[in-house]
Amino acid sequence: MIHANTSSWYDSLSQELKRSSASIEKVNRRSEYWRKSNLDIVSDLVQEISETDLINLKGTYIHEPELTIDGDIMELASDKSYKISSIMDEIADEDSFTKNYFGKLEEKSQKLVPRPLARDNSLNPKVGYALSLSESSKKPLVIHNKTNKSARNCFQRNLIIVKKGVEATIIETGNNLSVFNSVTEIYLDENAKLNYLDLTGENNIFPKISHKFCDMAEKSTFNHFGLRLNTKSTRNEIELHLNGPGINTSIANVSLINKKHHFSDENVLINHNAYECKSRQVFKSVLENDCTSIVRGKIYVAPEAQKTDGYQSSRSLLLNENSKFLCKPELEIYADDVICSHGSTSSSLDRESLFYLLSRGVHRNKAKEMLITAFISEALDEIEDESIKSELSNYIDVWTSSFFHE
Amino acid sequence: MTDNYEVRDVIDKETLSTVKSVGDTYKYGFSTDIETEYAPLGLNEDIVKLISKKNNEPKWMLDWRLKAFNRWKKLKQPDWALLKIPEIDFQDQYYYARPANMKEKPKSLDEVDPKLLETYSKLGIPLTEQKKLAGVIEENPEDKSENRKVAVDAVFDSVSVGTTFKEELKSAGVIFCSISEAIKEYPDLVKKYLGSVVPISDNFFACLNAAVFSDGSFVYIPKGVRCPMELSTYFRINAENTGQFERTLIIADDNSYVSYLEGCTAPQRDESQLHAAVVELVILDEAEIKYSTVQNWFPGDENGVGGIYNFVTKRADCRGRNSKVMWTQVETGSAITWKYPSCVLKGDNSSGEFYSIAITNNMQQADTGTKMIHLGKNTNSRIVSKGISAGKAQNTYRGLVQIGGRSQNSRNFTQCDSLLIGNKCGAHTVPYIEVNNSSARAEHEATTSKVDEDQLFYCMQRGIGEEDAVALIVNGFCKEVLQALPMEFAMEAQKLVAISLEGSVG
Amino acid sequence: MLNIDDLKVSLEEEEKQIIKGLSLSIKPGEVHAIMGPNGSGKSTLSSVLAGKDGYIIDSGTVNFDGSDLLEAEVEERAALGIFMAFQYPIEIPGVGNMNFLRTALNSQRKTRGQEELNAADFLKLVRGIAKDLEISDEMMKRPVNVGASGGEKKRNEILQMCLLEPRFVILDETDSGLDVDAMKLVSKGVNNFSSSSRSFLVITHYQRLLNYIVPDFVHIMVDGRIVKTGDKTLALHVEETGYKDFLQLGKGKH
Repeated sequence: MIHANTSSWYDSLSQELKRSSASIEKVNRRSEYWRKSNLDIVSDLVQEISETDLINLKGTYIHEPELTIDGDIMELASDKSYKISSIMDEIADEDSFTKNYFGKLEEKSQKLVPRPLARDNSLNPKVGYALSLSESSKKPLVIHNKTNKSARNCFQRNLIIVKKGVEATIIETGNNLSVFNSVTEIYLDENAKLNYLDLTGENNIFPKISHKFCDMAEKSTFNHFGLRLNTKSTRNEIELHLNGPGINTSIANVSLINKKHHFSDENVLINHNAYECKSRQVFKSVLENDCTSIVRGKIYVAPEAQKTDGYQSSRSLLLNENSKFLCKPELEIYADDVICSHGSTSSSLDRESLFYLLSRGVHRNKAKEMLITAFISEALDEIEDESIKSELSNYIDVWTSSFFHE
Repeated sequence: MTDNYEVRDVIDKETLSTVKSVGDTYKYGFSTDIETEYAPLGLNEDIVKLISKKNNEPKWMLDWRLKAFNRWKKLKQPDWALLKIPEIDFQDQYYYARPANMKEKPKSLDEVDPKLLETYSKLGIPLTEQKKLAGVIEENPEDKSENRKVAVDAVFDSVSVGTTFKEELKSAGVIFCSISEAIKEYPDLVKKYLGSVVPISDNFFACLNAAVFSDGSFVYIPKGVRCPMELSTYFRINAENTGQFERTLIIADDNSYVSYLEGCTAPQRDESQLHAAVVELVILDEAEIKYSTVQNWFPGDENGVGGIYNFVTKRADCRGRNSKVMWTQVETGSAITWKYPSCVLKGDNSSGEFYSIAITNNMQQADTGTKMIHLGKNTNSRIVSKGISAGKAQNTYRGLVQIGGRSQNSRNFTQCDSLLIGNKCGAHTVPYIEVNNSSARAEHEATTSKVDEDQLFYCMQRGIGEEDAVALIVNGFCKEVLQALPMEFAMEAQKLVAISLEGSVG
Repeated sequence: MLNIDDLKVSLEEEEKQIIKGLSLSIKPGEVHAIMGPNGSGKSTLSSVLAGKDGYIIDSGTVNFDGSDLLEAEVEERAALGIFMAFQYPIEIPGVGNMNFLRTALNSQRKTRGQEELNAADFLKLVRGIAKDLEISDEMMKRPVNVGASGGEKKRNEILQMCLLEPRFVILDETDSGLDVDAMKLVSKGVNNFSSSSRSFLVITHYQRLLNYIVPDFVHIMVDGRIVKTGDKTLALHVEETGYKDFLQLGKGKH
C-alpha cells in the first residue's frame, strides 16, 4: 500500500527534524566516523536488481517467519501471536501508539556522533514495522526479508517497544536488496529483556547502512548478535542509552568476509548514564581476499555512572596479506569508580596451533577451519539460547569450510 | 576555592581544608628579575627577519623561516574535540625575548649573568662542571649516584645560556651545542637533517615553530660512538607573555648511542603562555637514541588561570636497519598539553618504544599519546601509557598504530591505563589501530580504574597519610614507566607525581 | 623403518647450520635414545622429522619405510604413522579436546583410505584410554590443553599417541617438567603401547626416563652430530660423568 497520508504529529516532527538537519555533519572522507570506511553507501544508488543479484541470498536460519518484508511490502503471517503493524500505517494514524516514540532516539543519537543517513531515514520512510511486546515468549519472532525487484532504494523504519518485565527474542533473516538504509528504534521498559539476532545481509552486494538505537530503562537487558557473511559494503551503527541502574547489555558481531575487497564496518556507542550497568562488546572478524574490517567501538561513561563495568574486545584474523583491520576502541570516562577495559588484537592464524593440528594428521584446510571456529567462539558465546547458538554454529561451520580454496 | 567535590566517607573535611592548592606548591613558580630585551609585539615577516638577524643566521636559514611563515599564514589552528583551547591571539605575543646582557653569546659560564646561574641552581640544575676533586674522591664510572656526569645545555627564554662538558664531548667526537651555534658551525649537518623528520608542512604548530624558533639543542653522535655521558637540556621560560619555540635536532649516526634528557619549568603567571616546540630525531643503522622528558611547566592555578599551553611535535625517524628509539615522558605540568612523540619505523628490524605518565589535576587538559608508523619489515613497537586524572582535569590518550602493507612480521603491543581520582575529572582513550598486513601482530589493551579503596585503607591502616598513600599507589601504577626513566629523572618524577596530586584527594 | 643419511640442516632465519651430518638407522621394534647437551640440535632433529617450518635441508636424506619423508606434508607424515609427543604441548583455546581427537583420528583414517569411526565407537575408545592414563572426564571436555598442568599436558600427548596408533613415535623431552609419579604414568602408557612393529625415538637430556623406558640403543649428540653410540649403559655413564668427555669428540669429527 502506498501512503500519501501522514498524520499531523508526523508532519510537525518532520519539520522540526528538517530544521535541525543542517547542523549534522555530512558524510565525508575526513570525518572521524567515516575515515577509511567504504563510502559507496552515499553514492551508489541501486539502478537495477537482476536475477543474478538474487542468487545466494536466501540467508541463514530458515524458520517460519511472523513477518516477511518483501521489498517495500509487508506480509504479516496469519497466525498473529504478536502485535505488529506497518510503520506507514502508524505514521498516518493520528492516535498511533508510536507517536511519543518515533524519531526521539534518532534525534538523541545525533548528539555525540553525527548520523546524517539516519536523519534522511526519519524524513522519508517507505516500509517497516512497529511492534509492541507486552507478553513474554520463548519462541523467537522471526522477521524474514526478501527482495522485490520493483522496489529500490527504500528507507526502512522500525519501532520496537518491549514492555515492563517482558522477555522476547527477535531474529531477522534474509536479504532485502530493495532497502539500503534502515533505522530501528528500540525502547526497553524496566526489567524488559530483548535478544536480537541480525542475520541479514549474507552475500549482499549492494551497499547498506543499518542503524539501531536503543533506550534502556532500569534493569533491562539488550543482547544483540550480528552476523556478517560476505557483505560487500555493509555498515552498522548501534547506539545504546543506559538510563537506569542495573542494566546489562551485550553487543557481539561476527564478520566472515572473503570476497575481493569486501567490507565490514561496525560502529557501536554505549552511553552509560546510570550506575551499576554492565556492557560487553565482542567483535570478531575473519578476513581473506583483500577485505577490510573496521570496528569503532566506544564506551561513554557519564559522571553519575559509578560502578560501570564496560568490556570491549575486538579481534581480527587476517588470512591473506592485503586484508586490513582498522580499529578504534574508544573510552570517554567521567566517573572514577568504574572498570572499563578494551582489548584489540590483529594477527594471522597462529602457526604453532596450526602445526600442532597438522602433526596429528588433521588436513590443512580442516585445521584452519577449526582454528577459525575457535576464534569466533567467544562472540557466539554471547548468545544465551543454546539451540539458536548451536544452529548458528553449524551454519557458520559450513560457511568456513568454503573459506579456503584448494 | 574548593568546589563541591564529592567527599568519600573515609576522608574527613579537615584533610580537605589543609590541602594546599597546586598553585602554592609549584615550587618553580618564582621568576628571575633580570633585564630582558623584547622584540616588538606580534608576528609578521619583520619579526621573523629580526629573529634571524639576532641569531646571525646565514641566508639559507632565513629563507627557510620565511617559507614556513608564508605557509603558516594560510593555516588554521587545529580543533580537537576533547580539548577546550581558548582562542589564542597569535598577534598578542612576543616572539623573541632575550636576557639583555646576552647580546653576545657568553664564551664560558663565567661570563653568564650570575642571576641566571642562580636560577638554575634553585631549580637544582648543576651548571658548573663537576671536576674530579683530584686525590680526594675517586671517580667511579660504575657509580650511578650524584657523581654521574651529565652534560647540560641550559636554555633560558629560548636562548642557550651555556653548555657544559663541551670539551670532553668534543674529544669523543660528539657535537652538543645550541642549534643557533650549529647553524653557524655545522651548516652542512643542519641543512641535511633539519626539517627532514618534521617538515614545515606537518602541522600548524610545527609550521609556526619553523618560522620563529630561536634556539634549542643540537646533537650529533658520529659513527660508532657511544656518547660518554648523558646529555640534557633544561628549558626555563621566564619572560612574560612570550611564546617559546625551541627546535631540537639529534642525529645518531651508524652504530651510535645517546641518552638525552629534557627538563622544563616556568614561573607562575596570570597569563597563559604558548610553548610550541619541535624535536627531530634521526637514527641511522644500528644506532639508538633514548629521549626522556620530565615536563613540569606551570599548570595554571586551581581555577585554570595562567599556565603554559604546551603544543609539541616530536618525531623519531628510525631510518637505519636495527635502529632504536625510546621515548619516555612524565608530563605533570602545563595547562594544556598536546603532544604525540612518534616513531616512523622505516628501517628493517627497527624498534620504537614509548613510555608515558601524564598527570592532570585541577583544570588541566592533556591530549597526548604516540604514533607508531611501521613501514619496514620485522619492526617492533611498544607503548605503555599511564594517565592519571584528578580534580576537574581531562586526560586523553590518543594513539595511532599503523602497520603498512609491506611491513611484514611487525609487532605492536600497546597498554594504556587510566586512573581516575574523584568524580569530576575525565579519562579518555582514543586509539587508532590500522593493520594493513596479515603477518603483523598488533595487541592493544586499555583499562580504566580508580585508586583501590582497599589498597588505600591498607596503607592508611599502616600509618601512612592519605595523600602519601595515594602517591604511593599511583607510583605503583606508574612503575613500569618510571623504571624506563634514567635514574635521576625517575626520582624527580616520583616527587613530581606526589606534588601534582596534592589536593586531588576527596 | 627410519633411515637418516648424513643429514645437514640449517635454520632458515639465521643461516646457521645446526645438524652437521647426522646418520641414524632405526628398525621396527627398536627403542633409540638420543641424549646431548643443550644446543646439540636434538630439538631441531625432532622438528625436522615432524615437518616443522623454519628449517632448510642442506643435504642428506630421510627415508621412512622406503619413501622420502622430507617430501611429505606434516599431516601426510602423521597419516604415514609418525607421531611426535611435544616438549611443550601447545594450548588451543576454543578447540574442544574431544572434537580435536575425533577430527585427527578420522582425518588420518581418511588419508589411509579407511572408514571413519562413528561417534559412539570413538567415545568408547577414548574413554578407555583416558582411564588408563588417569585423565579425568573434565579435562577431556576442556579445550585442548587449556588450564592443564605440565603433567596433564604430557599425559594428553600419550593419550593421543594411544588413540592414533602411530608406528614411529618421537618423544621430545617428554620427561621435562614431570615429577616421578607423572613420569611413571607416562612411561607405563608408552611401554604398554610398544610392540615389535613399533619404534621409539626418545630424546632426553637426563638419564632417569630411560630407567622406565629402556632403550636398545643410546646415541650421544653433540654439536649437530652423533658422536657415540652404545647400549643403555652409555646413558648411565653420561649420568655420572656428564657430557664433557663427548664435547671433544664433537669437535674432532667433521
